Amino acid sequence: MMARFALVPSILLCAIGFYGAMLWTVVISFTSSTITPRYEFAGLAQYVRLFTMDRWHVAYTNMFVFGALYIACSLIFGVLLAIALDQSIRGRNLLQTIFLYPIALSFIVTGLAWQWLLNPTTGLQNYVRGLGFESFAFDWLSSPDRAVYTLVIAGVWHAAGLVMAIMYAGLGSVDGEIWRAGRVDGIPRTTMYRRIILPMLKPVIIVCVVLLSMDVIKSYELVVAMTGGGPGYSTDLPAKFVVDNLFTRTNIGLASAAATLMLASIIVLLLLFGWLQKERVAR
Amino acid sequence: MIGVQIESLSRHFGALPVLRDISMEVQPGEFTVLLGPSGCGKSTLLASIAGLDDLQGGRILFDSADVSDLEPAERNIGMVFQSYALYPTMTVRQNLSFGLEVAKTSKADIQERVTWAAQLLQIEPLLDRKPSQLSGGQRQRVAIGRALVRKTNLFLFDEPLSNLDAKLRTEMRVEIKELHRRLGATFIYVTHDQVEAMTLATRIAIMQGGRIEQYATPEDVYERPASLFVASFIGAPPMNLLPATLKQTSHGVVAFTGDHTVSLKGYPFKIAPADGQPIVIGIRPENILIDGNVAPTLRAEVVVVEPLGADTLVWVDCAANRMAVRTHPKEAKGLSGSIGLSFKVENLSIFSKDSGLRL
Ligand SMILES: Nc1ncnc2c1ncn2[C@@H]1O[C@H](COP(=O)(O)OP(=O)(O)OP(=O)(O)O)[C@@H](O)[C@H]1O
Ligand SMILES: [Mg+2]
Repeated sequence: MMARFALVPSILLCAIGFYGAMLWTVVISFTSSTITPRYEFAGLAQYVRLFTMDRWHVAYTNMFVFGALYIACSLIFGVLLAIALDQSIRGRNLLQTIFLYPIALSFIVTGLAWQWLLNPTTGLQNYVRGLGFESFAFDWLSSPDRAVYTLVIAGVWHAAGLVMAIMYAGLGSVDGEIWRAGRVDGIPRTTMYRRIILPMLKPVIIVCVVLLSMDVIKSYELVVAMTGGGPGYSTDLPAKFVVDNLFTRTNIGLASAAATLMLASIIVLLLLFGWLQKERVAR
Repeated sequence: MIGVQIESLSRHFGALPVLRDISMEVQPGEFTVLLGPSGCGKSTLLASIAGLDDLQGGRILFDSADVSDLEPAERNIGMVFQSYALYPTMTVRQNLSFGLEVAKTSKADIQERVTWAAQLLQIEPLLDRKPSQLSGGQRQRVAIGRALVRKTNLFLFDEPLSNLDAKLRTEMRVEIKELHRRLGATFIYVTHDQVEAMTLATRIAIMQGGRIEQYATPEDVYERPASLFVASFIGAPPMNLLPATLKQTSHGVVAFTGDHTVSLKGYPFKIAPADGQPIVIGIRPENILIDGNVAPTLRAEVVVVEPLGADTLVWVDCAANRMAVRTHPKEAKGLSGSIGLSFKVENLSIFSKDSGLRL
């Protein structure tokens, strides 16, 4: 009994700190706060302002471009790596080392490493030119249209290992007799994976997608470390937009409105996830 | 119908030998059961016949054609697994047809085979369900169906009934036997349940430690076990075993066990017995008669009487050996104390104590 009471303060603290902060953000988003919180109801004014800002549109669109590519590529690479692991006993340790370590790194480290690699004057372009290919150009990092794809490259490198680890565990849990049955039926391995094994692992894949989606919505460090949102604000993402407005531009109301929209996006995503799960149980 | 010849097959995992020099021949149309305790290598032998594992030695021939290097699919077999191994995301119909689709069988042909198998196994109402929506027995039928649609003449079963409850197991047993009769195909069937083995098999291969101890008809295995292991493995309760010593006397061969002398005159020795050889006498519980009047062969103390309904087991102690006697319930009534036991020499099995083999 006492033990239970002992937990109460920490649970309360958590609830207030976490959900309280969320609630506060939502409340502030409906006020006219700027530098400091001001509890003066302003209706949807902050949201209207948000939607007139090109920078917010770029950030929100980037989230979908980056998100779609990041999730799709991380899944594809992660799954292929997991299958490679599942197939080969040799090289397993090497693959695991190469792709599992990035998970342990912070996005900052990943971002900086890739920033250095992709930077035209220090990285890959410079290196290849040094080999004698003078016309070689890889300057996505400094191109407003392409810079967002460099985020995808670094992000995928970071996340593919996680997908690999989760999927590898999933593949390992498949009953060996299913494979044997497939061999008796004469089903090629690729067909086996495509038509039987991966469909069996749909719940595991959904978990991966959700984890990756969370990454996308809250991705901040990667942008800061790699592009700083630039060139211009071409690689801004909502999280970066929020932090910038909160701390450097001191526009709490606007930042809260943006944060509330992010929260709404997450809730939509969770609902979608819940629905997919239920769908699965129903079948 | 396909005959299967296995020639000095050996298989090991690392340094651990699992199959040691196995040779056997399964006749076309036969129902062969591989029987043995857990871990004796039954599944490994079956997987070798299916081509699921690489061999370390020996050959496998189907109708005298060497198939040792063929993939399972090329061997054209149907196989049913212990865990059923159905494709969980596919409907029953897809489970049956998937292998055929991949093999590019024509649509009409697939349709016809699926319908035929579904009818035979009475799973037509289940065709559009997923495996997770089926009971154990229904899953088992689907697994058999998936083997059937391959239209092969050799079926391999790995403990197909072990996940079912006792009642369903009895029902499915009858159905599998009926299926064998209707298809006329060759069946090789793994089990560790001796009732299944005795009821289904045309011949039983009893395995132990990666070897085949005896490969014979159920009657032979039961009445003339080839080794001490088979004698103690088959039958519930198993054969009574009495250690004894052989003596050549003027009255013929006799065995001494404790203070008793058992005449072995008329026993068909395969090998001429040596004087003073240590042996084990085996006798089935139902072959022992309880009679107090006529000069009994053995005297024993009654320990417990167990009525089983149709018959009764009387447990007795005879010269420090616990023995079971199966008798009629009426005869067993009021049995206690010292009783006399007798048996016929032709019902005995005699084993060499050293080699464990039948003499
Ligand atoms: N992949 C493997 N690696 C190492 N040893 C194995 C492997 N598969 C089986 N064995 C060993 O081989 C022996 C025989 O295994 P097998 O599966 O053929 O037994 P079984 O007779 O089918 O037993 P059960 O009735 O329990 O299914 C066992 O001792 C087992 O430990
Ligand atoms: Mg087995």
